[in-house]
Amino acid sequence: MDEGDGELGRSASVAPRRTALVRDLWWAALTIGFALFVASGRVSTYLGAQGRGRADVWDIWRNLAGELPGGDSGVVRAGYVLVLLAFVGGSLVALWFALAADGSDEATGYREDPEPEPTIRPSLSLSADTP
Amino acid sequence: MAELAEPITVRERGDGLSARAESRVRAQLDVRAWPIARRFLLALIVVFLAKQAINVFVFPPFSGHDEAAHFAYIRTVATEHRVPVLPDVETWLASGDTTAEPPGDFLPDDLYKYCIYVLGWQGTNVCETKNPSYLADPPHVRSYSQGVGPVLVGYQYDANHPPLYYMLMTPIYWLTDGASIETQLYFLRAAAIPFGLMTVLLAFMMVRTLFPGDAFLSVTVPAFVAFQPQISYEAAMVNNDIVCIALYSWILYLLIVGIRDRFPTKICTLTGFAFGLALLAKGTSLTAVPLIAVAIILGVGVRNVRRWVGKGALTAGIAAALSWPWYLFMYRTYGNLDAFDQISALQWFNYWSPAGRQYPGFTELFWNRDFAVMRWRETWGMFGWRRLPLDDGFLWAIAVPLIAAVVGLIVYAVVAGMRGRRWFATDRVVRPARWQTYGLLLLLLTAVVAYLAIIQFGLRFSLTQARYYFPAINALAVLLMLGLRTLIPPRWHRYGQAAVLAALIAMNVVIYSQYVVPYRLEGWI
Repeated sequence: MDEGDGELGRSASVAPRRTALVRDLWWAALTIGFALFVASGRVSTYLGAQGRGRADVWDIWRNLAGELPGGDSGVVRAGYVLVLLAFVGGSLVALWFALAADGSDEATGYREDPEPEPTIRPSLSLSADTP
Repeated sequence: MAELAEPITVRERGDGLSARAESRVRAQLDVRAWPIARRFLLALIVVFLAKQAINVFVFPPFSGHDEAAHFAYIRTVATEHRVPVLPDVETWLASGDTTAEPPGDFLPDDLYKYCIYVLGWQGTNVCETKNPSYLADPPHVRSYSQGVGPVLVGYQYDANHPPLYYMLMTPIYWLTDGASIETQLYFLRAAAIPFGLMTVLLAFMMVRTLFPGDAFLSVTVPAFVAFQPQISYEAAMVNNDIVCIALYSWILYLLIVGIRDRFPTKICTLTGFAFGLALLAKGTSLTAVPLIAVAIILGVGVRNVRRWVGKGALTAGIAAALSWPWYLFMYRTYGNLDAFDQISALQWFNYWSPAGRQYPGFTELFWNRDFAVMRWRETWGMFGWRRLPLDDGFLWAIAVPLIAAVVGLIVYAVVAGMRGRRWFATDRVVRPARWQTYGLLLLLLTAVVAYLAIIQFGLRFSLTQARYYFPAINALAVLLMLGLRTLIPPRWHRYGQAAVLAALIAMNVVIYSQYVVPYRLEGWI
């Protein structure tokens, strides 16, 4: 019996570790995939009346910096880079939390249906306090 | 009673904050102690704000939905301290002198260079930005062939919108008054971002109220709203749509809380307040009337007639008290509450044919495949006056998982309604209490009403658009994500929610990398 309990305890502690490992692997895979797409991805682009084109993802976003209002200013370019970093970094952090969230760290706050309210008001004599 | 008679010994600090209150505030601010779902929301907010900052600048000036007309409205409020008025085209035509402009508001001359983005001004022989005489004196009257005759162009066609958004934006207009109109536009676009953020936060709050503690829905519902490309587009644009969307989302949240708590006076008051503001933001908000009525009746109980009549009257009374001046103004100015008659007379091209206007019927539009397909295209793409359509393959890639979500929602309804108690004994989401079922039915009704409303609008105006049903975005997000949740086995939920988030991020990266940014760099006219 003791042996069995010990086995159960070990497997219970192994399960969250395995879950965490799988989570880490998923997150790493998504991060690497995203980095590869940005660094070396080449996509078909829509150019309106000019038809279609092809461009590197990196070049698309790099060229946009020059097209921004005030894009020749260093401050605007720095702001642009910061915004892109916030988007990419925030997305990766959000993905991490999405992989970690299972609701086990909070009270559910679940509410059953409230008691039905009486449709007839009780008489005053029934609700009067006794001295 | 003895405990009540004892003196209350709360240690007060010098700044008036009790130690207990201070520790509570400190705990609230300690991000590391937050549940993961709330920390996820914080990361989502950062991503949303970054995306919106890009949206403010990535779309060319005045290329958003009717941005020039909305900008002109703000200018009228800011500089003339009044709301604009539609020209009276009927009286103008009846006068016989169609060479002169009728009374009413026209768009400012300095916006003519953006005539390609202005309804009525964008036509051939009307929008000629390289013609110096047109630039110096933009056209306001034109005569068209094929029996159309004289028409007005370049008029203020947003004058029938309520004033709330424009009044809120007026201080920003004043603060940037010395700058170019383009710079002013960027500031005004940025001022729309908080309303988009409010919509995302309300999506989170609503789903946490409806299904507290459910990680899948807490992650996917606000993510769906935050990454919906057209909601983002609206939330970085000079347009009253996003204020309407945010206020409508607030109404939906309050209705869910109200159904849960049987509509206490506080919720009725807040609902009336939110609805009153929404009515002052955009006329589309009127579609909330049946939703509020149904929610109060379901929440209070159908048989408690006196109670729901009283609560409904309180809600309606507050909304009416807030919004009546605008609707009185409309009635006194146009003789009706929406000025659709006047807009219809100005927009001669609606269902126009040489034989007269050929209006479609309701069932005709309801079953019209092209109508539905166009709304689907507009829901995800068609940025900048329908200049940027997404490819069919890409739209199908979005449609397939959402069709699966609808199937999942039907499965959910069957499981929750019939066998759920036995199949999913531990899953509270598939064993909804009655108030939760009512809440979900309300969200379903919201989606249906929103779609029917654009059909109704389309009966008279050919330019009905998908964005008119965006106020229902939070309701749609809950229903669709609930459907997806049903299809994913519970032990896979955490990977499912991460996959949904990753797909939403990927969808945005593709839309901007393949369409929006390249078109901005090389293709935009």
